Amino acid sequence: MNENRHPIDDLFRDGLSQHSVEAPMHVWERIDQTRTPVYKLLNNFKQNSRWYLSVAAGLVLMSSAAIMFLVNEPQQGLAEGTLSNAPQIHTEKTPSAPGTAAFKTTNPEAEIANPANTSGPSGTDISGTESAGTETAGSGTTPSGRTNPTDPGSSTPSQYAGGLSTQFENPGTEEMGGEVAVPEYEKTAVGEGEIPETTDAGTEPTDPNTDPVSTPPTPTPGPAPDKKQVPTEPSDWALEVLGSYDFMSRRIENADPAYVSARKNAEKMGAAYTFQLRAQYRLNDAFALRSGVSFSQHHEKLNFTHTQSNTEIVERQETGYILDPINGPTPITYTVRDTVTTTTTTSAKSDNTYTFIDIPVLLNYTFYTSNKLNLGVSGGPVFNLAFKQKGQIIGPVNNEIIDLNSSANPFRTYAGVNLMLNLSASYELNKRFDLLFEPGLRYGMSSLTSKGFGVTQKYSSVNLFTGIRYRF
Amino acid sequence: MSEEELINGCVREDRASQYALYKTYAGKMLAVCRRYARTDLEAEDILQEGFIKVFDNVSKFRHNGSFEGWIRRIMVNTALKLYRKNSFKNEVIGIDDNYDMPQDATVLEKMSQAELMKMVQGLPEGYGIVFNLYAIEGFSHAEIADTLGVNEGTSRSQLAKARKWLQKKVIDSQKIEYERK
Repeated sequence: MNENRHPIDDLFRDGLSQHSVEAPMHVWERIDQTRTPVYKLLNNFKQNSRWYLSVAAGLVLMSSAAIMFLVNEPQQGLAEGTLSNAPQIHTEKTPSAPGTAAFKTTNPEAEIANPANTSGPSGTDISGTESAGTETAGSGTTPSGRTNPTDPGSSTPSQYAGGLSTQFENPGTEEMGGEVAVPEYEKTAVGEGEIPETTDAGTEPTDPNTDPVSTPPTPTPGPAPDKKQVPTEPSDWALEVLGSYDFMSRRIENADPAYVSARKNAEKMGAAYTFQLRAQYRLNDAFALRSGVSFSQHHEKLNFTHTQSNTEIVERQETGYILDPINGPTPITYTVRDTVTTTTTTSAKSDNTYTFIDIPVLLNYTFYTSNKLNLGVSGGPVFNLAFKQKGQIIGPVNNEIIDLNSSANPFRTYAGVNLMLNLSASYELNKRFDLLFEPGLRYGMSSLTSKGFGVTQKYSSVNLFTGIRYRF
Repeated sequence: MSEEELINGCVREDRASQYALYKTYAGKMLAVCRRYARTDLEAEDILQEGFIKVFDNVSKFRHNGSFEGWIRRIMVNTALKLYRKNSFKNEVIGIDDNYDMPQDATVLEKMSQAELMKMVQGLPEGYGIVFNLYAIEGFSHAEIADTLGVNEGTSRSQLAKARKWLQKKVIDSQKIEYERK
């Protein structure tokens, strides 16, 4: 290992290997702080902040989606909601004669409002079940007690078959005979066990006037409303995923123009991109609110070479001889001044990375709407959550290189508020999905460096967002 | 508190033991860090990070060598990590004169640690790292080449330049000493 030991090596090894200096207490205090569980936890969070933020963003989005779904649920049943204004009708499918579908309908209001349809408990409860009396009121009888032959309710096979048929003059049923006075025109030639020739009441209402949806005040126990047939209103919520290639622009201000020039020459803008996951809430036909999580990253290449020359005069004593004509060669000591020029070249190369996690809050105004195309403008503040840097930059004092991973990092951990202004175009792909294109500008309002650094550094960018919107 | 007790206390994360460990070794380790750092502040950063690593990994110490040597190695590695991050390449041009080492050994012995330290710290960074690793820490050129990601030839060349640079400084300092007499 030390096959070529040199006296200089020995001199410095012997002198310095056990060299000790006084260790400052503030370093211990800093170390001690890092040993606390809270610090360890925070440090762990800091090291894995990207992961935690991603999880948090995912949870927020999932929660938002769940809330949107829950909020959206009653809106989808809006048409059904019209029934809520009408008397409560409960329709359930009951087993009936083979090959038929029958509905048992309960209408409490009808039970009260149309007592004339019944001739008392004994007259109604023919089959001895509660449903028999209510069926009398609701099964296609008009308020006056008339039966509409075309009413699907009146054609419910099981109702006739099960009990109501006894209200009619059916020779086959003699249990209630004569107790209920049924007008002649109300009599239907339906015998017990017979199925009327009308269509299945449970599937196709033949008279639109009896559609319980369209005539809420006089509900009739018709078919169960089919949700698929009920037009649903579009939700006001949508989820948007966008990506952008960004064209960055940087502003550096410092009292020393040479420093600004050195920075501009040494640091070149690289690739930059942004991803956004946003929720949109439509306030009305023209305005919509958009917010979510934005992840941006941009790169800069540092290629810096700085040459500094330092000239110093070094004096040394030399011994020589002069020829003394009397004494012969005589030794003398004289001073020699050497000029030594030391040229120091400092070079640094690094790929700097700046990462931002933001929350944009944008208001969108749609000014043009056609069949499928919407055009608008959106704008608003972008609040920074976290700002992280990697690499090296040139410092303002003697062009020293500052490592952004060291404690000398002059950047703030919070990038402040930016302003965003976009043109927003959306093209409807289908009922649920829109294609988005949003060119825009993001303007950095505050400096990313701390005040003590003495350099103002701001970024702006031109963004070309494209993405997809999913409408709930 | 013996070294064994100190180590066991640190494994238990006992604060008093950690403080005692710091008090015992921080002075020597800061001197090590200063040889690799550009500034005193940077040396303190290395010292802090190094001690945090020591406390986090003290349970992994296997008692194969000296504990001080183990801590010193962590400090040097921490300093080298910073060096690699900075990826500096400083070069000094213009010192081409050959200087012979003075023959008077007593003069060399009189040189204080502070003077030697100042000279080592004054070495251009590339030379300084190689000289520190080779001459003081005892690394081989192969180890240096592997650690710094350079070839062995570069390491040898940097060492030669560092020696020449230091020789000149030593001679200059003696001349000044001589003139004072």
